[in-house]
Amino acid sequence: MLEVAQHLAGGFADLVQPANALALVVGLVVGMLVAVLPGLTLVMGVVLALPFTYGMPITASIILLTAMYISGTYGGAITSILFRIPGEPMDVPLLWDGWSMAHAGDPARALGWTLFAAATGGLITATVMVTLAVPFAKVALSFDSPEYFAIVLFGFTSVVTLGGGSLANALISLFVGMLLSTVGVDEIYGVDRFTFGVDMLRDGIGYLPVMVGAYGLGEVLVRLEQGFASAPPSGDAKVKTRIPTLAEAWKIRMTFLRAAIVGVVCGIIPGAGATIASFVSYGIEGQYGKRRALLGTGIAEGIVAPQVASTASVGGHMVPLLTLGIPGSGATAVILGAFLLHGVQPGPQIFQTQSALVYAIFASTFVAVLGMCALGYFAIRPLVKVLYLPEAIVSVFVIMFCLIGAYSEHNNLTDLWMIVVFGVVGYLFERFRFPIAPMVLGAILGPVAETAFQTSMISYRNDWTVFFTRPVSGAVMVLSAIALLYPFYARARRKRAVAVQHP
Amino acid sequence: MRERLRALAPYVVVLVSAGVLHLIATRFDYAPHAGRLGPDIWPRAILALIAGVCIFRILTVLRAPRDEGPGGGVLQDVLGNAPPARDAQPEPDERFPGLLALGVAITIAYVWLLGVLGFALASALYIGAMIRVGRYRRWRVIVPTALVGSLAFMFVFQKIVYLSLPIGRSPFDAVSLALMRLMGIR
Repeated sequence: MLEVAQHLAGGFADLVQPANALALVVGLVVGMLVAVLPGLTLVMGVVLALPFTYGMPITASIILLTAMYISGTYGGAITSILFRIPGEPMDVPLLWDGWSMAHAGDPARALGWTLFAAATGGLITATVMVTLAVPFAKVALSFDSPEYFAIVLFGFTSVVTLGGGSLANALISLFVGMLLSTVGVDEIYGVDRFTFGVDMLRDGIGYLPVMVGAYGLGEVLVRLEQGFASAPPSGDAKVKTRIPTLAEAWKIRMTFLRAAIVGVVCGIIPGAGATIASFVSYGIEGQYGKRRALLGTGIAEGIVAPQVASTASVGGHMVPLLTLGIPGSGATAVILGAFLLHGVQPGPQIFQTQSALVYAIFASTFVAVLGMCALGYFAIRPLVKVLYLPEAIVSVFVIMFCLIGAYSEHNNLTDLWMIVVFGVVGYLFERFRFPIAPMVLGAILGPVAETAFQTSMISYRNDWTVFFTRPVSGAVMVLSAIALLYPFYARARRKRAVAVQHP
Repeated sequence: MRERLRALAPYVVVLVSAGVLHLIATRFDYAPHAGRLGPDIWPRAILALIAGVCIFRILTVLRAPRDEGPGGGVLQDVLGNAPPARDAQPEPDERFPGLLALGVAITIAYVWLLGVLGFALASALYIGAMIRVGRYRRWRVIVPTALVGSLAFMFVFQKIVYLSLPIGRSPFDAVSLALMRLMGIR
C-alpha cells in the first residue's frame, strides 16, 4: 500500500510538468464542451482529439483523453437540467428529476446536486481504480493465451448483450469489426488476406479510420439526415449552482453508495458503459430507494443516482483497460488506441514497464475530478452559451477535424477515402439500428483475439478443449456462454408471461 | 410486403457479402504447415458466424417482420425495474434523405478536390457548402465562417502542428503557396 502511495505521489509530481498540466486543463474544457453540445457525443469528442495526440508525449496524450472522458460524464447534465436537452444519452435519466427540480423553480439546487454527485462518483472511482488496478494486474500476470482469448471473448459477448437493441445486429456489428481487422498481411503466416491486390490494404485497415469515420462523420451524417437543430434552446437558463450541505448529502448516503457500486461494477464489465450505469442506477433507486414513490417528481435521489453511477463508471472502465488491455467502452477503446499509437500495449506488464505513466494517469484522475467541479461551478455561464451555436456550423468543423485527423496519421489523401467509407458505414449502421460500439471493439480487439487463439492452438497442438479445461479460461468461457444465452432465456420468459396474461 | 423487404435487405446484403468473402478466404495463397490451422481459419470462422446470424434474422423477419429477435440490455432485464437505455435515442420526427445524399456527395467531392484545389480553397468551399446543406441560410455568417475557418485550420495545422496539407495542382497551388507565405509557413 505504501508503495502505491509513493508511486501516486510521483504521479502527482508528474502533473506539474507544463505539458501534462496543459493536457489536463484542455481535456477538461473540451470534454465538457463536447458533452454540452447535443450533436456531439463524448466518444466522438475523444475520437476527434485522438489524432492530435500523435505529436504529444504519451503521458500528456492519455491525460488529455482521460480528462475529456471524466468531464464528459458531467457536462451534459447541465443542459439536461436547464434546457431539457440531454448532452449525452447517459444524461437522459437526469431529465426526470433534474429537469423537474429545475422546472419547479430550483435549478441552482438541481445543478448543485449534480455537481456534488459527479465529484463524489469521480473521487470514488479514482480511489477504486488505484486500489484495484495493482491486484488485477498481479492476477493477470499468471494468464496464458487461452485465458486471454477467453477474456477477450467475454468482452465481446458482454458488449453485445449489455447494449440495448437487437442482439443479432450487435453480433453482426461485432463480426464485421473483427473481419475488418483481418484485412492485410497476416502476422503469423505472412499471407495477404482480403487485400484484392490493393497495396494500401496490405497494411490493414487501421482502427483509426473505423473509429473516426463511424463515430465522427457517421454521427454527423445521421444528424444531417434529421435536419440538424435549427432553433436555439428555449428555457430560462438561471445558471447558478447551490452545492448541498454535507448534512443534506448524508441523508441520502445509501443512494450515493448504491450508485457508486453500480457505476464501478458497470465500468469493470466490458460493454456496460456510463449510459447503462446511469439507467441501471436510476432503476435500482426506483426499486430500493427510501423515497422511490417520489422518483420522477424532482427529488435529489433521482439526480444523484444516475450522476454518481455514470462518473463512477469511468474508473471501473480504466481497470480492465490498464491491466488487461481490454477496453470496455467506446471512449476507453479510443484511449487504448492512443496507447497503441505511442507503441505502448496496456496489460499486466504495464506496472513494471510504464509505472510512472500509469500513476500519472491515476493522479490526473483525482485532479481531473476536482478540476471538473471547479469548471462546472465557475464556468457554467459560458459553457451554456455554446448551445446557441448553430449545429450546422459545429458539425462541419467536426467533419473537418475528422478528416484532418485521419490525414495527419500518414499525410496521405487515401486515408480520407477510408474515413468517408466508414462514415457512410457508420451512418448505415445507425440507420438500420446496428450498434457501432461492437464494430469498433471488434476492429481493435480482433487481432488480440486471433493472436491469442492461434497461439493457443499452436501451443496446445490444436486442442480446442484447452479453453474449457483450464480453470480461469473455463470459468470465463462459461460466463460468456451465459451472457450470450441469457437474452434467449429472457425472451422465452417474456413470451410465456404474455401467453399467461393473454391466453 | 414492403416492410418485410426493408427489414430483410440489410441481412441479405451482409449474407451475400459474407458468402463471397468466404469464397475468397478459401483461396488465400499459402503453403500449409502440418499441425497449423492456417491464416484462413479465423476469417472463415467469423464469416460463418456472420452467415449464421444473418440466416437466423432472415428466418425471424420472414415469420414476423417487426420482431427484432432477442435483445440486449441484459442488466436492465436482470434488475427488472431499470428503464431500457435505448429510450435515450428516440426516433426523429422527420428525415431529410436529400440533404444526406447531398452531404455525402459534397464530402466525396471535397476529398477529391483537395488534391486539385489545395487545402485552403477546397476547405473554404466545403465548409460553406456543408453549412448551407445543413439548412443554415445566413450567407453573411456562412461566407466569413468558411473563409476564416479554412485559413484557421491551415494556420493551426501547418504553422503550429507542422502538418503538410495538400497545396493542389497548378494554377491553384499558387494560391496555396501565396497564403502560406502570408502566414509565414515554410
